[in-house]
Amino acid sequence: MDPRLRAFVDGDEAAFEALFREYQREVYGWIVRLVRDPSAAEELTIETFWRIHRGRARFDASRSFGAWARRVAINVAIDHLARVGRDKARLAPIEEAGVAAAPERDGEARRSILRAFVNLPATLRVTAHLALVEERPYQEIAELVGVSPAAVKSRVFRATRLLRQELAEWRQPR
Amino acid sequence: MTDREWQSRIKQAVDAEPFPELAHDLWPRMQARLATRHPAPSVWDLLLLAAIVVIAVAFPDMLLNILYHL
Repeated sequence: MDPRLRAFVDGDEAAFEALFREYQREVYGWIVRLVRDPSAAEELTIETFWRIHRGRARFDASRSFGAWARRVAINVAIDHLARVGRDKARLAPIEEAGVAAAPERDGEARRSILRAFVNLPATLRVTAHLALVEERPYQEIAELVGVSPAAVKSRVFRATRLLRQELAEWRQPR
Repeated sequence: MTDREWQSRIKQAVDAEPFPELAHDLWPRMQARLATRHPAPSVWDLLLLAAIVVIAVAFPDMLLNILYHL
């Protein structure tokens, strides 16, 4: 067992600081890919560690801190996306990052898919991101999100169906 | 378009560009958050609490009056 994790569970602030410094970039990376907003991702990284700090007594120090942090981060991201709703979903990063370099029709297609994707309900969006973009197994997603593998499969199916419906117009030959 | 092709397009669209890495240390903001949520009681708070305890012990009848004015 990592003595630092034992110290963290026992309330050692220095151990918490060490874990924060080691994992902050990783946690930020997970969150920013889900919420697509670097500024919000910073705040949500802090919220993630706040929840970790608050719930440290429940952490089993013999298990992986990273896996626990990831579960907390995903829940924080889902809460955030549900709160801000579709109106505040950010498209700026994709527009800044040079979709224009792609052929015009391809760029338009990407933007349409991305717009439809960020408009998905929060739980579907995060589950679909983990399954379709990160290509993680359903069992792993189930453990991360806290639902059964069957529920993950159902969410991915619903997300794909919603995306297909929303993009039906784009998919028609022009 | 098959499901596989469709999912590949979604991945390409959503994962088209990398986001910048965290550029600075968030620990100072984390410390501020921890301090905000666990404010230490000030000296004046402690003095007020001590005064109330003393009055409650010395003059129990005044306790109701104090509670009324709080």
